[in-house]
Amino acid sequence: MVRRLRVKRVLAATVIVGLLLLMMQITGDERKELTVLETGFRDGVGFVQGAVMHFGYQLRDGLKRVFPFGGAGEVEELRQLIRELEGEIAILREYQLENERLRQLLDYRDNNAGNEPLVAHIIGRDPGNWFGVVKVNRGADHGVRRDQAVVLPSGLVGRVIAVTPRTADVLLITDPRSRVGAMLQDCRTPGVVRGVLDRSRSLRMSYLSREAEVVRGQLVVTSGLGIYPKGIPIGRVIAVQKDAAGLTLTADIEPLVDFDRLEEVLIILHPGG
Amino acid sequence: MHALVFALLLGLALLLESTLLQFVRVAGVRPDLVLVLVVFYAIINGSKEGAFWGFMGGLAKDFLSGYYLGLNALSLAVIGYLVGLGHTRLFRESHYVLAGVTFLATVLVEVFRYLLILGLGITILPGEALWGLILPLGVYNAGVALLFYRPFYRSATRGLLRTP
Repeated sequence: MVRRLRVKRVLAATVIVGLLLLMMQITGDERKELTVLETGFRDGVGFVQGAVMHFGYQLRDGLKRVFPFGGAGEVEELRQLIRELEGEIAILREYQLENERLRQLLDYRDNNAGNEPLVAHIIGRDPGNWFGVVKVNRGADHGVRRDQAVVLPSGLVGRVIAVTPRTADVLLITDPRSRVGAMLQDCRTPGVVRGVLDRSRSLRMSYLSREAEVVRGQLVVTSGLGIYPKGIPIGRVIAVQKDAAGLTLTADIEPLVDFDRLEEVLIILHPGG
Repeated sequence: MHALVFALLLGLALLLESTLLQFVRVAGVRPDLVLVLVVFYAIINGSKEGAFWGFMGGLAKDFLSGYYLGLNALSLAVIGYLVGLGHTRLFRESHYVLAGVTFLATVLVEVFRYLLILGLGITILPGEALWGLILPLGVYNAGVALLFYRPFYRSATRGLLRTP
């Protein structure tokens, strides 16, 4: 009896593990469409995430300026006043910074009007540490489609990999699954840029010709091969080494975009349009 | 009652992981609060409970992530079961012991996830995974365990999380 129960349990566990492994295979990032259930869930959760992230941005910026003050004593009243004024300055400074960021995005949009860039706000991130995916508050209702490039005035951010009516997932170029057709701007040597988990060198450019003159500080841009429009800056070379077989060179790249501080991005709706 | 409270805690952990925890990244990693909670719950309540809540927490994380459904459910269920084996063997009153267990559990679960990710055809070099994610995350999670285990243990023995 006990043995039969044990066999049943082992069988049940095997079936569950098998089902989970199957689910993992069929729900990778190369799916063409999401299910209705996923779409509804993501749009619902996206609303809550957006509100929490907005609160987080405000809290972070407020704390940065107010935190150094504290203590008690005779001057507490004045300190309180300073804290309040600091708080007000922080809010004004926040508006100023937001203005500057949005102005940069507007300038970029005006200069690239043919591409129809769409401004989107980051409302969430992948909850794990292995993958670099962010969720934005623009989706199919705003013209967003899978495989559109996502940029900032400073450089390439990633590409859209999933879309719901009101949100979209963006695969960052720092994600280990990301591959970008790229070239060194000076010498036009092509290669492939991929994401790296090591944060000290978030990107690596592989398959560079060993005859290429690769030096520290060189700018890397998209080559136009693949889904990304040509000429978008990606990063700068910080180190070069030969690959294990010595046939090609590999360069460590420092991205131009600060991926820890992403707040808004531009989605290119019609590249070259 | 305790199950509902723990489920709410897992939900809050998930919401934080997908939003505010990006502001507290250290060495490129954010703490894995769901894993830390599963470790806490498993050491106090045993293997069966640990595996169940690991599975549930992991599944919720998979749904929120939206990709590779089952990756977190499987890895957290396994680690919940393994940690639960220490339920009667380890001195679970000590938060130092729990910090050590959390470090080891993090390393184990991330190595397991890494192998699953490799199996899915995603190439990540072992050195990158170890130095860029697994070890820093282990240290970070252990620090979080050191900070939060005492209140959790108090609640699990005398408060809302107490098993009837």
